[in-house]
Formats: sequence, structure tokens, C-alpha cells
Amino acid sequence: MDNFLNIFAFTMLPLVAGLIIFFNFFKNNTIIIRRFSKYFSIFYFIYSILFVTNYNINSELQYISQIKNFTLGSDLLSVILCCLVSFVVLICFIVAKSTLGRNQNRFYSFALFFESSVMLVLCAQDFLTFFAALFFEIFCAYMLISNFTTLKAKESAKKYLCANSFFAFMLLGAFAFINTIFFKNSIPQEFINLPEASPYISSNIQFLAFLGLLLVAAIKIPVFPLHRPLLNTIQNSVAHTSCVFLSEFIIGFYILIKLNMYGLSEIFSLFAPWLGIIGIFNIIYFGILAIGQEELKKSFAYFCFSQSSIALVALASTSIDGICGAIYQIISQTLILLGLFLAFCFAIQYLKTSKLPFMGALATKTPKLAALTFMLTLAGAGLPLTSGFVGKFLCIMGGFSTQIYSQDTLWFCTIFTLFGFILGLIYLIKTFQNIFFGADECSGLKIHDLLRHRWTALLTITIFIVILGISPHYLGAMLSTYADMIISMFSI
Amino acid sequence: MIDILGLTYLMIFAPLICAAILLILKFVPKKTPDYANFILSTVFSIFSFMASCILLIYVITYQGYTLEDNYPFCVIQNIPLYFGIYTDNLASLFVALLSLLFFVANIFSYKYLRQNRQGFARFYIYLNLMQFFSFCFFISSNLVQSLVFTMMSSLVCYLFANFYFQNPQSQEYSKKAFILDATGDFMLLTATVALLFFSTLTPSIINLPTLGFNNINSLGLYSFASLNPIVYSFICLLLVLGALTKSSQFPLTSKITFYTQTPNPAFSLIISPILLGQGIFLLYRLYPLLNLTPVMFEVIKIIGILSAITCIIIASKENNLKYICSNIALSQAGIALFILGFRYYDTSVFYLLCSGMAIVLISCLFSAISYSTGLQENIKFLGGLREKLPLVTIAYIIGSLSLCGLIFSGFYPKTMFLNELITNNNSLYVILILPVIFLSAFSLFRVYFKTFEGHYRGNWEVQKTSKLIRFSIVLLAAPVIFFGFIFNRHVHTFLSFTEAKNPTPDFFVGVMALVASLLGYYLAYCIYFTKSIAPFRLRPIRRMVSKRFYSDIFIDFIFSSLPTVISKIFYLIEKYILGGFWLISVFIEKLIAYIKEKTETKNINSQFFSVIFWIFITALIFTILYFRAGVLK
Repeated sequence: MDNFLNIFAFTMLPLVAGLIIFFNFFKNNTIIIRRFSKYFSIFYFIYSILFVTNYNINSELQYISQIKNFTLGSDLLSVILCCLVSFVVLICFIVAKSTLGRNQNRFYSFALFFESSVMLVLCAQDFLTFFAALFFEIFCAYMLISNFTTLKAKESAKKYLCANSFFAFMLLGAFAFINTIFFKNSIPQEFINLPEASPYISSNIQFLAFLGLLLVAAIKIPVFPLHRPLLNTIQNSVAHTSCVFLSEFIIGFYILIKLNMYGLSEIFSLFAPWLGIIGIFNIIYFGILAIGQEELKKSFAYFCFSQSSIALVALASTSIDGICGAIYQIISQTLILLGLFLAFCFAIQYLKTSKLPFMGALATKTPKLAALTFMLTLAGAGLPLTSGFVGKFLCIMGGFSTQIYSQDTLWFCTIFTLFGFILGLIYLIKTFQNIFFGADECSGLKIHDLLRHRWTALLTITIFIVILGISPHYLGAMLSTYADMIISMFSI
Repeated sequence: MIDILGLTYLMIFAPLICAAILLILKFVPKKTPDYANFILSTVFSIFSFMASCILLIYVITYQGYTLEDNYPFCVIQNIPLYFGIYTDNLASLFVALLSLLFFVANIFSYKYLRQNRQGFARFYIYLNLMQFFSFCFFISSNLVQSLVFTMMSSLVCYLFANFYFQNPQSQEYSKKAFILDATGDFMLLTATVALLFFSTLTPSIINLPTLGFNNINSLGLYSFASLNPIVYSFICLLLVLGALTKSSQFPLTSKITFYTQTPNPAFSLIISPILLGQGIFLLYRLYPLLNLTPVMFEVIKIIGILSAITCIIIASKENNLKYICSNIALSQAGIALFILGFRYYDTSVFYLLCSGMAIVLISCLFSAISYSTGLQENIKFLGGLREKLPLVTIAYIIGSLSLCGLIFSGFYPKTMFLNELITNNNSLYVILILPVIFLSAFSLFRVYFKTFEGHYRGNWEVQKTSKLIRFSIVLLAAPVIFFGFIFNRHVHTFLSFTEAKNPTPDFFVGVMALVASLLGYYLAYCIYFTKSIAPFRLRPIRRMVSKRFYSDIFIDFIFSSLPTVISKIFYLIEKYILGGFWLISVFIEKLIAYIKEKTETKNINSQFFSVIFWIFITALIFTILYFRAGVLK
């Protein structure tokens, strides 16, 4: 099994699959391309599950693979997030059947390249691989956004590419220094050695690297005021490219946890209260903005930002419960947001508008879609027996169990996270009612209920959400071991 | 010998099984007849009712014995969460009342749905789910379970409120009701998780289950001793506010009016002490925890009396039967909270149960009236029903007399409470309660004179109530008459935390309450029956009452207008300030492009020069930074 679970093969597989499609192996036969991509994604998802199930939770790093100077390996977090990304891509491929019109081979190849790049970012263990993967990921995301979303997307894709590259270059500069220091002190240039090497690195350089990482993460999570590129991206996204912005969330949080928190724990502990305050500001600011918008995708984008900031507050608490809560919230939120985004995209497709005042009464025509969206809405609101409830529960618990904050800040955290939940609920219920009930805006339209593949995609997401909500202990036990490892850095 | 534990579990899960069967039947290709849903649901509710009666008898027989069982449901962060039952006297009383109500609701629903002809199976599925969640809430052994099931109850209430989802008002109201309910739930969630975290710090003191009601006392004492008092008070405040939001107390009294679009039988349940009283029940459960922070009881007291006064004033002006009933129910819940504010725990429970039974009876009678008069709910278009619906009239008089505290069950808790106020030198508060008693009598008899006396003003020919409905009216009227009388002597021993003695009855207090009620009755009689007094109208008060003391406006402002306005402001910031900053980056990009264009002369040398120039600039920056870092190191 160990030979089978090779991390190098794991990260490169989508790349190979993408190349097969890109170089026209299937001779532009769209049906074969689509089926090949879908079945490959199913296989790949199962393969990623095998990585999770075979992971020894007590080991800090596993599945290490080194080819020349490129080191790949994975800790528990990266394995779980890889699994999540592969699931998101799989769902995107399923729904692409009826939403993707032209250039199927290009879409599937770039999506697979993108998947591979995300896996590389998550599994990179040395600086060189990480930056190579990061730039590759930005490029693939640019290609997907500019070519396979709406017609207005070119400009937003360009902005997105510029902003991401700018901060990535900044980070590269900071890590160039760190690399030099590693080299001087004969320390292998790997992330895992960052805590060990921190005494050799001046605090200014650490601070510079931390800031660079934070900015890269901030543009992906995103954090105010760096949210505009991702806002435009989500606004122009369609169902089959939802993997792009969801993967961005995942990478952002991964950078924050693995590199900022674990690698530069000393600086993180100084920054933590500010991070908490920024998180709370994000929750309320984006939550309120989401309520007032009339454009569905724009309001959804603000809602996404608000909800992802809940995890940011939990992370800032720098406690085991907080980290577990944050990771759980990221997983849960990714699934819920994916489901909701797909449902909203379908609704937009049916009603031929994305303006909320012109949407309504879809439940009469599409009861299946309404039922599944209602389930997802409830999960997003944090109803018990869904993953949303567990995520929120753990995040609040993390807020209370903080080791850095004073009691006053603890209050602050708790009160304002509560407001985030309420604002999220108001947004979700309002939007759901607006689209599926409300004034009859679909009387003259020919609308059929969900097609089978769409129904399968949404149902699968809902099942995963319920499973995570009913039995959180399987994942929770794994995460607490990981959180323990992160927290041990703070007691050095 | 009956396995009481097994029976209790069966009682809890019977509605869930019924809901599951109904759901399966709904998806069976062959259509199930409507009455099959009704029969199935009624059979299960009869079983639950009988089981709850056995449980109550068991608890009464083995005085002081608490049936408890816990089953670990899931583990979150090494904290096991339990699904359990905890049937003490309080829970068994509420559960018995609950099962009676659901049984009656089943009967009423059939006739109601036959008239409306839609959503038979859906209604019964919701009803059974609501029963299951309510059972799980009232019988729960720990706070987390209570929280989970109160959230689930909120969901079912939303589904009921949106039952007629084609109706725009129903959509709007259900949305508002759910948001308000969930706000209360989130407050409770935050406080519960806080308590849960602090309970994990005290493994030696806290026994199973986590946050169990069996040791809430120890948890409260430990938390109070080890925590900052402000933190502790804050947690308690969240609990109280969450509970009061769930119970639609002031200033969120309009929440209950958002449920007026629910089907009538479900509305009767929502305004009963079972669902309206969920928050109050939670406060009863957390009484030992709150007992350590006296200021919380002041909050409860103030909110309780404000709710009682404002709601009864609204009820005495309303014309819609549903609105009247909901406002009376809120007012009675407010009085129960007011009593709890004085820490008369047992009297408060007794009051809530007695008034709750009468309210459910009146609410069901209103449903029967509505059914008989072709869904007419406005008292302006009713009248003269005494001759046509004699049993309903008698039952209404019984319910009204009980609610006013003149005779029957309502008399005992009211006298008990007023006695306790006088005995403990709180006579000043009696002055606050007497107008509520007066207005309760006035509004109830106002409805009586306008609905049952005079001549019929509607167009629909009045139908007779069916045997089933008459049977359920009798079933509900019986406890309204006898419950208070039977239970009166055992209140302090059955419900009290400590050994309390009945205060000596004060004759003067009894007379005062009686006079207040009779005055209310007399005023209604003069205005609406003999018409010897013209109804007086105080414009400012009328304006305030018609706007429900600005409760609607307050809710709209907090949950709709305020976020929308702030959102608009934020959006302007986004568009003009943040957008401006992003625009600067575009200008820089254009500037670079311009420089590039100007330096380019389309020959290879200038291209080469340009490349070398940029590499040089980059290398220079990196070198400076490198040496700077080196110096620092």
C-alpha cells in the first residue's frame, strides 16, 4: 500500500490526465473527454480518501517523496484538504455536463492542471516547489476564469492574476532571504524546518515573511480590503468553475495554518489579537453587505467572505479547540458553499437573470432543487445534525478556550461571532425565500426540475454535510492531534 | 411490571416513527387516502398520550424519584454529548400536557384540512415531527440536547408558518419568525458552548451527562466561584435573552403574530405553553444557575410585566380571533415570567400550566368557531353563536373564567401568587398585576359578547361542530376545571426545590383580584352587551396599540431596515473608496505601459536595453534588501 500511496504520483496524476486531454488524445470527442475526466476524478477522489484513511495521525509528516531538489510530503491537514479539493473538482466535472458549451478539452485539461497545482501547493515541502506550484496555480486559475466563465470575466481574471502575482512575488522576496539563511546555516530548505531555524532568522525577516504569507492568504481567504479580485471572480464564476474560488479559500487557510501559524508561530502569537479583530470586522462587514445586495452572485460572494472569517476568528484564538473548529468550519463551509453556489447557478440558468428582485417562485417548478437548496440553507445557517452546526459550535468553543486573549477580548469574540451567525441566517433565508417563493417570475418560462447529474451532485454534497454533522468525532479526533502539534509550537 | 424506561423511549420515538411512515407513504406511487394519515397519526398520538399518563402516575406514585437515562450520541472535541431522558415532576407534567395537546390537535387538524383540502400528509408529518422534537426538548437530560431540539422546533415552526407557501404574507411572516427564533437559538448556543467549555475544566465535579440538568446546581456553583462574575453574568444574560426571545417576550412580542398564517390547529400548539413556553421551561431548568445572579431575575421580572401589560392592551383592541388569542397567551406567559422574577418557581410553573390549559382550550374553540363559520376570524362578523354552538359557548365561559382567575384552575395560582407577593412585602407589585387581571377579563368577555351574544353578522351559514371536535373540547375543558383544584395542595411539595410552605391565604388579596376581574367583565358587559357606555378612545394609546407598541417596527428595523441601510453605506465605501484604491493600481499599470511604449522604438537594441534595465532594477532592490538583512542579522 505504501508504494501505491506515492505523493509524487498523487500530485502529478491530474497533470498527466490534463496533458492527455490537452494534446488531443481523444481527438476532440467531447463525450469521451467528459467521461474520461469524470471517471478519472472519481478514481482520484477515492485515491485521496485512501491517503486520509492510511495516514498515521501521530506522525508530523508522511508520504515524503523527494526528486532532486523538489520535496513533497503531506501532513494531516494537507491530506484532508487534498481530499476536499478532489471532491470539489469532481462535483464541478459532474455539473459541467450541462453548463459547459465550448472548448471542452481545454476546460477539462486546465481544470486538471489546476487541480494538480493545488495539490502541489498543499503538498509542497520546500520553498522552490511551493512557489513553483503557487505561480502555476495562479496561472491555471487565470486561464479558467478568463476562458470558461462569463464574457465579462477577462478583466476580472487579469486583476486577479495581477493581485495574486504581486503578493506572491513579495512573498518570494521574503523567502529568498530565509532561503539564504537556511543555506548559510546548512539547514535543509524545507517548511518543516522553519520553527527549528527561527532562532537564526532575524525577527524583521520573520516579520517580512509573515506579512508576505499573510497577504497571500488574505487575498485568497479573502480579508478586507483585499477582497475585490476574488469578489469579481465569484461574480463571474459559473457552476463548473466554482472549484477555482473554493480552492482559493482552501489554499488561503492552508497557508495561514501551516506556514504562518506553524512555521512562524512567534510572530503569529503577536499578530493573533489583530487577526481576531480583522476576522470579526470581516464577519460583520461582509455579512451586512451580503444582505443589501440585489445581484445574487455578488451577495453570495460577500456571504462566502463573511462565513470564512468565522474560521479566521477561531484560528486567532490559538487554541486546540480553535484550530479544530477552524479546520472543521473550512471543510463544512467549502461543502455548503459549493452546494449553494451550484443551486444558485442553476436558479440563475432557469430564470435567466441573477437580479434578486426578478427571481421568485421557482419552488413550484423545481421542487427537487428547492428541497436540496433548503437543506443546504439550513446547513449554512447552522442547524443541528449538519456540518454547519458542528463547525460553528467548535468555533465558539475555540473562542472561549483562547490562550492569548484576555477575558475582554473573549467577550468581544463571542458577541461578534454571534452577530455573524445571525447575519448569515438572515441572508440565507431571505435569498432562499426570494428565489424559491416570492413573486411568480417563472410563469412564462419552460423549466424542468433538476437533471439527473445535477441532482446527484447536490445530493452527494448534502449527504456529506449530514454525515459530517451526525458523526463529527471521526474527523474531530484526527484534527485534535494535528491541532495539538500546531499548539506545541507556541509553547516552545 | 411495566418497563417505564422502555415505555418512555417508545413514547418519545412514536411520533418519529409515525412521521417516517407518513413520509414513506407520501412517496408510494399509489395515493394514500387522507383519512389514513389522520388515523395513523391519531393512533400514535393516543399511544403517546397514554404512555405520558402512565409516566405521570409513576412519578406521582414514587414521589421524588427521577427517571434518568443517557446515551452517548456523539463526541465533539473529546466532549461526549448525550441523548438522554430526565423525567422529574416538571418534565412529566409538561409531557402529559403536551401529549394531550397533540392528540387534540390531531383531531382538529382532520376537520380543518378537510375544509382546506391541501397538504394532508405534509401537515401530519410536520405535526409528528414537532411532537417528537418537543418531547425530546422537555424530557432532555442536558442543556445541549435542549438546545438542539429547540433549534429543530424552530425549524418545524418555520415549516408550519410557511405551510401555505403560495401566500406572500405567509412567506414574509415565516421568514421573520424563523429569523427571530434562530436569533434566540444562537444566543442560547453561545451561552451553552461557554458553559460547556467551563464544564470541561471541572471534570471532578461534573458527572454525566455533559451539562446535565441533574447537576446544573454544582456546575452553577463551580462556574460562579471560579469565573469572573461579569463573565458569568454575561453567560446568564445570553441564556435569559435567548429564552425570552424564544418565548416572544417584550420587545419581540410581534413574533407570535408572525405565526398567524399557520394552519389553525398548529397555531393552537404554537401559542400553547408547549412551544411558546419552551424558553420559560428552559429558565425553569436553569433556575439554580440563574439563582446565583440576582440581576437576571430583575431582567426577567421587568420583561415579564412589560409583556403582560402591552400584550393584554393589544388583545383588548384586536378584532381577529387569532391575534386576540396569541396576545392573551403572551400576556399570561409574561405573568408567569413575572412570578419567576420573584423566584416563586413552583407558583410560576403552576400558573403557566393552568393558564396554558385555558389558552389551549380557548384557541381550539376559536378554531372550532372558524371551522363552523367558514374560516371567519373577525369578531366584527360573528355574533349570536350561543344558540348555534352551545358546547363551544360553555367551554369558552369555562376557559375565560379560569383565565381571569375567578374560578376553576386559574383561580388557585393567581391567589397563590398574590398571597406570596403580599406575604413577602411586595405589595407594590400587586398594583401592576391588577390592571392586567382587569384587562384580561375585559378582553375575554369582550370577545364573548361580540361572538356569542347578539345576532350573527356573517354571511356563511353556521355549521354544527362535529362529534370529534366536541369530544376534544370536553377533553380539554376537564383539566381546565379540575387540574388547579387537584394540584393546588401539592404544588409546593411536587415542584419546589426547597421545602416551602403555603403562605396563609389573605382574604383581602382574593377580594381585590375578584373585584378587578368583575370590573373587567362589567365594563365589557356595559360596552358590548347593553351598550350603556360608549367605548372610550384615547388617540395616542390607540395609535400605539394599533402598531403593537412599535414592536413590528422595532423588529423590522433591527432585522431588515438597519442591515439594509448599513449595507448601502458599506456599499458606497466599497464602490468609491476601496474602488478608488484599486483604481490606483490600474493607473500604475497604465503608467508602466505608457513608459514602455515611449521607450520602445521597435528595434532590437531598445528591447534589449529595456530587459536589461528591468533586470538591473530588480537585482538592485534584492541586493539592497539582502545586505540590509545581513546587517540586521
